Amino acid sequence: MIWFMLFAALIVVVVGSMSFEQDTQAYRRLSQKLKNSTQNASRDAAVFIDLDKYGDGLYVFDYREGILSAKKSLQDSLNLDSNMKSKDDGYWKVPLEFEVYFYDDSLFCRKYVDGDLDEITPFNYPVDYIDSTTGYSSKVVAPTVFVKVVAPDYQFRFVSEELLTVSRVSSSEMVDRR
Amino acid sequence: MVLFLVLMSQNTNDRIVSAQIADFNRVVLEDSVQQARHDGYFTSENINSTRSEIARLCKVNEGDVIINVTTTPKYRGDVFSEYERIEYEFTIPLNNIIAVAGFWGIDSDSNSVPYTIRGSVESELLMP
Repeated sequence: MIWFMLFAALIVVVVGSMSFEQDTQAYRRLSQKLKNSTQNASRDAAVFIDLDKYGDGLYVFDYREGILSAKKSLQDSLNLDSNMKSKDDGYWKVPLEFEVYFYDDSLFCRKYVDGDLDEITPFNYPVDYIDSTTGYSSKVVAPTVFVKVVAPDYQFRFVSEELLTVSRVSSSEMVDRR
Repeated sequence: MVLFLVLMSQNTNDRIVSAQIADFNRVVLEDSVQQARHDGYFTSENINSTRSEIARLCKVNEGDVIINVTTTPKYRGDVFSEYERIEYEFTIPLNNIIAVAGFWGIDSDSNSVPYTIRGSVESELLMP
């Protein structure tokens, strides 16, 4: 009997640790997928610039076009609908949130949340960008776009009932302006 | 004891599959797509080198790598347009999902799933 109980306990421990391991791998893949998506989205948002300002020697982003492009990039790479929820009964049942920060020669940082202007803050180069959620930090010394994605409701099995939030940030900087 | 060994080998299998997915993601998203962004589309050289690199790293046949991408030039515009984006879709088969499949009576065809990476990016190619 003791051997049977030991064996059953061993199986429970092994299955539990395997589930945790698989969840960890899935979490890592999800996090990397978000990272790749934000990298492409930030680079897409930085493609569009205000040509009139550029003619005056200033590098100022075209915020409206940049937001449209970043949103489209995230939707396509993460298979999201126009409400930023998964298509086809996919993983995310609630909308993903996304934030875009434009730092440029207008010397105002524009923060957009889910595509809408949320905050305008004056700054001067160099300035530190620090993300409060992930701890990601970067010194802004040239026109830069940051894209952050917040994916809610990630759950580890057997470990916690609490739903986790996965969040990643990437930036695209105009390096030749350094 | 057999069950214990089967479970442990499944754990090893999962790590191998995760490594395959990570390599696949890296080759497609960090190399091939960024090159396409620079070129304005997926050139045949880009497609061929990506196919062989995926096959080498992910241990699949080159013929099993399905690539469906934009092959005509797209240009960087002043305004956003969905039609001027470079689209991509890469698929590979992930084989041996279940370890020691014979033990569970699973044949090799059923033990394989397709894994796809798709998306779109802006072109950085200037209009000639």
